[in-house]
Amino acid sequence: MTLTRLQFYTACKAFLDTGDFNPASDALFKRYSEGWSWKEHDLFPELGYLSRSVLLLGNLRDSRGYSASDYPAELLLEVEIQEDNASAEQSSEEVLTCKQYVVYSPTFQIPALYFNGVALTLAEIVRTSLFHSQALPTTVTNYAIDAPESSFAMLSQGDHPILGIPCWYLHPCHTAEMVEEIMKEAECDDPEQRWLKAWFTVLGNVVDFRTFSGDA
Amino acid sequence: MATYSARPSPSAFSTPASTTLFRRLTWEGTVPLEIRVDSKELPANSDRGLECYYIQAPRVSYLPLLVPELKRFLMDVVFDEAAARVIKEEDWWFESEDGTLLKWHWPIGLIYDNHTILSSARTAPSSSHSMIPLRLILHLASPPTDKLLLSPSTEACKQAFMGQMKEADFIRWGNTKRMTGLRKAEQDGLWEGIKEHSFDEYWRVAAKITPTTTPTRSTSPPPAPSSTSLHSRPPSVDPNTGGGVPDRDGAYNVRSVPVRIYLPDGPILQDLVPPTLDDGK
Repeated sequence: MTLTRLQFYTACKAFLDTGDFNPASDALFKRYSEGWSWKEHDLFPELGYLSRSVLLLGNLRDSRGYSASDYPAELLLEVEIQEDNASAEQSSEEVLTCKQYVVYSPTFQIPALYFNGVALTLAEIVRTSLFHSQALPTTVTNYAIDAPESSFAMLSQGDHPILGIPCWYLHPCHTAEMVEEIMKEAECDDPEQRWLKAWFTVLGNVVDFRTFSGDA
Repeated sequence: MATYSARPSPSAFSTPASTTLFRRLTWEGTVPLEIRVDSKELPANSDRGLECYYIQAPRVSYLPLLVPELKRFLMDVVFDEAAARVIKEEDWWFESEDGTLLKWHWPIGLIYDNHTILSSARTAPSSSHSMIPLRLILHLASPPTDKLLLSPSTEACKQAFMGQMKEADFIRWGNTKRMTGLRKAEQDGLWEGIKEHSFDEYWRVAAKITPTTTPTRSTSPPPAPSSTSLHSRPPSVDPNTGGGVPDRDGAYNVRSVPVRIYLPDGPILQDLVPPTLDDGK
């Protein structure tokens, strides 16, 4: 099941609104729904996308010069709490900002997840908290992670379709089928209302959409 | 501004001469480039009188594919031995004279057109830009990784190119079976064709994935866009007979035409473009 650009817009708006209506009812939903906002291109308002900025933990020892001390104290506090709960190797982990975008792919007519960080290399990205461990295949080059069963690389670099800035993106080619399966089971009357939620559920198998501050 | 994907269509058996001619003209298009090493980055003892390199580059090629030739020139003529030893071409990156970063994964023809149109829009219309080469500045270190894709190697360029080919395949046919159906050697042949600028090597394979242009129109009207037989008809028709039965690989059977519009200073526009208008033309 694919979406037109207009349906994508409707689905995004519905997704954002759901968060407002019912903030506490669905803990899982809250995890990945936090912090997103709708952005539009200055000259072409019909070119819109979802955007948010999150903090990630990365096991980036020795590979980059920045460290947790570069971040404001109140952010660090949250991070430390998170680390206490979740990580046994606090000392080696660093905090980095990650911009995430949900952008419409006109080729595949479904949303695609784009993200970038402080110019992360692929080897660094797979060591951040953005991905569930074991979720990514092991074939990593400097510029792509191949998925053996697919004709497209699973994770590769590419320009943001609207902003034109370099990003990494998860290839959207197989998500449509999986979203459709979820939608079928959910038997909902208004598919656009739930489309993005189903999409996040599918991507949630690979991507950890939790944010530090939003997981209390 | 057309990329490879806007090129017309093939048939292994009977590509009309006009199609081959058009493909050949598209393929042979070149643009003049003047490439100069950033003077601040020239290693000590470089020969400063010669640090400019001129090339008539194929439109369908890519900047990383020029690097080996550039490197050879710089090593031979400009750098001394000490400098040549520490040169790392994987750190090289290009910008235009006015400071625009050049995307290495864009075809050179696209970079040229984009830049020429932008600068002609900024300056008086009387100045003629078409006659002068596009002036590029080559930087030897510290690529701005927040603005350019990483690792501008030939291999990364190939990966980006093949990804585009598969996307174009999906747009045309609704799946990537034609691309994935190619043997590895054939897929590599597509890229080798670009890399070596070999028309024959590229089109030997490209003809298998792009639509045929064998004219069947004179005896049979094209199917309506809503025709249900678009993808379900078995491949039982000899493409040479053309006897009024629409060719499964024919241009009228594509779902959409892969097109992107690169706006100077703007976003890239892409939408579904059906092969025919509503009236079937």
